[in-house]
Amino acid sequence: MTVLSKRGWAPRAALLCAMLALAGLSVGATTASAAHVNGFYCPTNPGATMSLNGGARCTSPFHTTFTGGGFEDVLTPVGVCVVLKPNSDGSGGNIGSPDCVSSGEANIFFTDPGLAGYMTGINESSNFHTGFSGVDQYYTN
Amino acid sequence: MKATLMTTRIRWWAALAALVLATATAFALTRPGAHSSASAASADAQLSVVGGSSTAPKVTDSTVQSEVASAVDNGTRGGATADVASARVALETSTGIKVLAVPATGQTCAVVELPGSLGQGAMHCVSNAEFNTSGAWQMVGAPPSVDVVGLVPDGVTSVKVTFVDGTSRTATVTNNAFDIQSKVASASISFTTPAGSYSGPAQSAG
Repeated sequence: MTVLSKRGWAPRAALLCAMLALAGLSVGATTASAAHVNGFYCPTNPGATMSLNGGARCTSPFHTTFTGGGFEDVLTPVGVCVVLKPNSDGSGGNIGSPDCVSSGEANIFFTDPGLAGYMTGINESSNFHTGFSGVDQYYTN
Repeated sequence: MKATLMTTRIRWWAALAALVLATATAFALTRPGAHSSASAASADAQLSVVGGSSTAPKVTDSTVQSEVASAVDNGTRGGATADVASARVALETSTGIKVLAVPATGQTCAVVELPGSLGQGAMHCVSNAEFNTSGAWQMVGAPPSVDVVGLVPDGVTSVKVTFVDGTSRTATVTNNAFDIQSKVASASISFTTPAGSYSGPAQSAG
């Protein structure tokens, strides 16, 4: 009887393990395909110093699935723009339209699955300022 | 001996718990999202287009609602929660640009849906108090296609934009919204609210 009981537990345990593994794979696959990241760029925390009149810009890492981006000087109300660019230094033709504000936060967003490029924030004032901060949204895959 | 050991362990765990609590509190207070303005939330926006008597169409597209909610939430200062159920299409231009009026927690957001295959939108959110004096507007695009577009408070009937070449245009306000198109970059904007005149820079990407 004891032997039979042990034989009975082995397949049950195997089945349980298989189900747990499948559940784990399922959760992992869902997370990997749909992870929507809200991140910061330029810099990872507010406080970056940027200069001059549209020439100073900072960019996010490259992503292929940008669904949104914003840019602002959180310390000083200065003019800023945010735009998606093809080059890592924020140069090149605009991908879509830039959005500019005279103070506060400029924002752009795109429908799923998003667009590729570098989210770029631009200081439109004629002076150096601190406090610039950018946010972006993209899918991890 | 055992009692001493037990007391030492309890103290150690208490110290660890205090350290974890202090770290979590410091993180919550110093992260960028913690800078929301409580005072700004106390003001009501003078934005009748989202009021109960408004005839402007509501924003019913669930995709647009989702995008707007996500964009509003992802602000540099921690964002806010958009009231997408109250959002209205305040203006649609002949070129297909839609101006959405979107109330959010303590903020007013001017959302611009741009025509074209990219499915792009742009947005500018301000505190309700700021909206009541200076509106929520933005410059979208770059020469030779610039739109100065957004929302202004109740009582504003027209908006004037001056461009870098010295020319200017005036637009009539409809449902709190306006849009002024140009081939050159904008320089300044002005309008008159019931509380007084507003004039400020409107420097678009050039």
